[in-house]
Amino acid sequence: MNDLKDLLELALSDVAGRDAGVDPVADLARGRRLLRRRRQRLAGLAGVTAAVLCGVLVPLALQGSAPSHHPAPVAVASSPPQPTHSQASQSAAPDKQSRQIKLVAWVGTQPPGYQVAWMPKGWVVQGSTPFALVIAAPNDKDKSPDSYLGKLVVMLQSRDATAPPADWANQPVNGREGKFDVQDDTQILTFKNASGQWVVIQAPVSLGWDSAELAKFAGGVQVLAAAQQGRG
Amino acid sequence: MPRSSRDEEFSAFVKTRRTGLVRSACLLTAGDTHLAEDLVQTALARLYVAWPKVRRAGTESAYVWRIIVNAHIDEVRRPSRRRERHVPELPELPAPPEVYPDGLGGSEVRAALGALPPGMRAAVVLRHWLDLSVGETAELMNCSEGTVKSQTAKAAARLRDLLSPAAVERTYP
Repeated sequence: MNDLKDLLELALSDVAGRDAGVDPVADLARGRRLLRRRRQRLAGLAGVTAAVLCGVLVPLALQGSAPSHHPAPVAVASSPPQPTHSQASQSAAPDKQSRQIKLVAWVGTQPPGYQVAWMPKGWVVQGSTPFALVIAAPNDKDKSPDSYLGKLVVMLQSRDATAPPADWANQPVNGREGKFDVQDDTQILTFKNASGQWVVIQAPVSLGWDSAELAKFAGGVQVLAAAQQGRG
Repeated sequence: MPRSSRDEEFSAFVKTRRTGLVRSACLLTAGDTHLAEDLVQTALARLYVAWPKVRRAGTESAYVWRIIVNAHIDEVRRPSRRRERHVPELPELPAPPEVYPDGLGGSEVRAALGALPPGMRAAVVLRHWLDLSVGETAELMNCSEGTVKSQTAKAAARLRDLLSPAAVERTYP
């Protein structure tokens, strides 16, 4: 018994193996669960990191519609409230989730980490930190700016990631490299901005946008010096 | 029910490879079938997440094995596994091995494998059970080829010692 292969075979000689009918359902379910958790974690980690690192949440009540438990930043509070296009359109035409929500020009005070040229019609800024800009439907029950599910989010790609997966669809933004993918109910567009940074836009499918519309929104995003990458 | 090509391809992979993975993982765990099952479950779940990239590269097996080996090494290094356990009674002695023509049984070999450090065991399994090359094994274990060679040689020598007639006689009087 000198041959190691024979020895290893002998080690398995009386180990029962489930030869008949492997059912992949359980493995499939575990894989899907892990994939879902990972996507949720990636989506939410930047916001959580912001809270941990900064020690405080810095929500932005640009439209004066921010939840009362999130104080507005001093810089915003000291300036007179400016009506935004999205506010005006919200009262003029209630949005219908079943249809595509149009992009309209941003008119309000710009958030500190990211500037955007466009907003989904009727949507409001729910929060803004150096790690993420969170835009949500006005009737979104989830008012936490740290929760990204069902919301439009702008952030820098995590410092633990190097580039978007190569197998995502190409979707250039302003003529620069961009990758687009749909994962469950979320569209993700990761693109390189003029400074060479990877910027991630996460949008709910309920917006009714296609990749070109998302690229149009992305094209109006400017990353300011205050913006920071999250982890994870 | 598979919902996408990822699901279908992954399911096909699981159907054809799962049994072999668990059995091979049993060598890493020195016969601990529950731990082997856990390792394979972990590896397959992570394979599903990375499926599009891994599938395109055609590295499904290497990917799964890398996870199994690393997860096993992590597992055996966990403090809860290393901590000495006090019990009121002596543990049961190993059951007498099923006797084979050459005098060795599966349980003896597994016990000998279990006496090897996890990295050494992994080198033996990858090289001599999965028939990976030295280079492939080194890449998978994230170490140098020289380390793989020395670990394999030491493992072979250690197994010879552990499975010598005198040693077997001491273990199973």
